[in-house]
Amino acid sequence: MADKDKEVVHMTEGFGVDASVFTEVWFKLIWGIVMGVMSNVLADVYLRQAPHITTSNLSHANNTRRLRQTTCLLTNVGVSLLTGSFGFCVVFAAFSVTAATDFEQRWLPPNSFMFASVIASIGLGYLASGFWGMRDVLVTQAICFALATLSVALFGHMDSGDIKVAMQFGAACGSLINLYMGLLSMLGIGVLVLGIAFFTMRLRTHHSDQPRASLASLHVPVATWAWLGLLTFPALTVLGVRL
Amino acid sequence: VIQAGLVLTLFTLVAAGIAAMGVDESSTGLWCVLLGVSQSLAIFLLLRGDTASHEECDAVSTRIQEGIARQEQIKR
Repeated sequence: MADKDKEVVHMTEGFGVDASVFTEVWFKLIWGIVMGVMSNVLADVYLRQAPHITTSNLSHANNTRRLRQTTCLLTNVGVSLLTGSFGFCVVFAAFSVTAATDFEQRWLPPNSFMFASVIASIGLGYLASGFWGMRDVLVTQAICFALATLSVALFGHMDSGDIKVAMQFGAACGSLINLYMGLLSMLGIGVLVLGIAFFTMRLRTHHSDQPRASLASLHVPVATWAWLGLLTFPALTVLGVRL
Repeated sequence: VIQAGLVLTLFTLVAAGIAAMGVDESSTGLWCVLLGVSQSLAIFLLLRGDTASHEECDAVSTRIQEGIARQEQIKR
């Protein structure tokens, strides 16, 4: 019991663990459903503002939307049941909106939402762990912002929107240890996906005269990738895997 | 504008590093304030630079369209 508690504290260090009504399973379940529905509704609102929604392949678009809505709801409920942190559930739901719009239309929510969610994360860090909690969230999002900005300036392979995604990701991680675990999870997922993509392309082009498609030409939905990293590290921590 | 934003971004990284190593609440608080101010300024400058580049893109596309229109006139 004590070891399990330690793992939960480790996982949600940035936003603390609530000892109030949030320990009740029924409340966590309801809260997860509310967060999942709200992130889906917000994602729909922002996707309506996207200028490049196409109706040419409507069945494909509908399937993507259904997949996004189901995944968003289930993961928010799962995270709410697993983490035991009210703050982490809120920032995860906010990041789910960004990941959902990026996954569906390669479109990010407006600056007002992205910056407001970062500021809200800093406030939640203060509510959960006082000054040091606020400091942790402020530092992690600033490190992500600076590293993303410098990589955009130096290499130019990323978009300016990726800087905002990096800020939101850092704020959602909430502490340096969580950021480290989130980045390692992202790296693992990236290697896995690239491996599968490379293997699939190799199979597809093995008997054809066409040149192999370049992996560099793939468009990477960075927000969805970061969201998967954010989802993986709490799951790994609950399973007892330390990165 | 973008260069100033990048310099402030570097300062943000340094301030974040020092704030992360915080020893006591007062000195860490000071570095957190510097971090917040420098990051806000960097974001403001980078967004301003981004907006300026959009305007430049619009100006270039207008010039290209004018060039295409002139070429068509010459062809006629």
